[in-house]
Amino acid sequence: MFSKRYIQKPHPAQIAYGRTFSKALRKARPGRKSLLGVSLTGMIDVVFNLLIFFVVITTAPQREGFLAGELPSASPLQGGMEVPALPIMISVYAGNSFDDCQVEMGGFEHGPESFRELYGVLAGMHADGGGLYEVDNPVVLNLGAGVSVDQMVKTYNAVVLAGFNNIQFVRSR
Amino acid sequence: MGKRLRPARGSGLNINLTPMIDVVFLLLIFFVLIAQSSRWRWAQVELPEPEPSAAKYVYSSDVLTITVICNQQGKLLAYQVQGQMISPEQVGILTQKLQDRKEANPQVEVNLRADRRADGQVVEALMAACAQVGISHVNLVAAMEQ
Repeated sequence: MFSKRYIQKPHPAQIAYGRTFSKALRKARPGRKSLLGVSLTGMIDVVFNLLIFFVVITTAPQREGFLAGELPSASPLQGGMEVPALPIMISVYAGNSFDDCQVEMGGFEHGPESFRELYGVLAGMHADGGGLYEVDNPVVLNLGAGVSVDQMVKTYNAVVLAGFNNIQFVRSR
Repeated sequence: MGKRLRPARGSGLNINLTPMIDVVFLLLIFFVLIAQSSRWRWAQVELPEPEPSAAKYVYSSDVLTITVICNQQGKLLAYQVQGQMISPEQVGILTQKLQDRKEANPQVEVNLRADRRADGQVVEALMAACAQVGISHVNLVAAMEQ
């Protein structure tokens, strides 16, 4: 026996707008599954989650860190401080490009070929690496004209990495 | 009368609120993220990438970040401080900002975010300006190890 539901009159909306509207209405009903049997609500949910994930990943900035520095009360740049007696002198001269430069070290005939090598030499000079220089021994960076920030920071980084914390900048006149 | 006003059962739109709230919240998070990232983004600069890098992230309560922006050839274009662009000719404004922050908090730290192509003299000049107003904590910003 058929229940009353199946012999119910059509909804007024169906009559007014015809079959197309009726189909759309049925499609929009919550819980409706697509032809593949996937719940649309859940799929939208997952798609939005993926969208947010990729937006966050792609807009994530480069990881930045700090090379801590402590300026003396009177900066040597202003000529207000005398350079100590036994500093490690490192001179950087600019080359033809941003990545090209020449590094010289006081007391060494041949300067290091790369910043990694500079770090290696400095680490060997440090007391922790069997050298004679203590952590607070002054390291003087003499930056020549045209030296870029990249070369400056990489030199500074090599000194910090080697374990020295008393770094001073000078500029040859 | 009252019976007429009652919505017909089984024929109206039954909207399940749970997934709708779910989607609405996702949209909300999406737009908040977009708005935040565009508001707080610093000027894009190519930072030096030393390898291996000694750069570390250390939290500090009061930091003034100065970004040095230059063009492809390394020519200085502007400084960015607290979202404000300062041209190289207006360096007096920059010094004034440093002075104000030093007076507000004597322990203030300055982070120098300089484009890798910029001239090192620009950074040295900024260090000298910091020393001039009595700021001793000056950090160079570099890319960290991946």
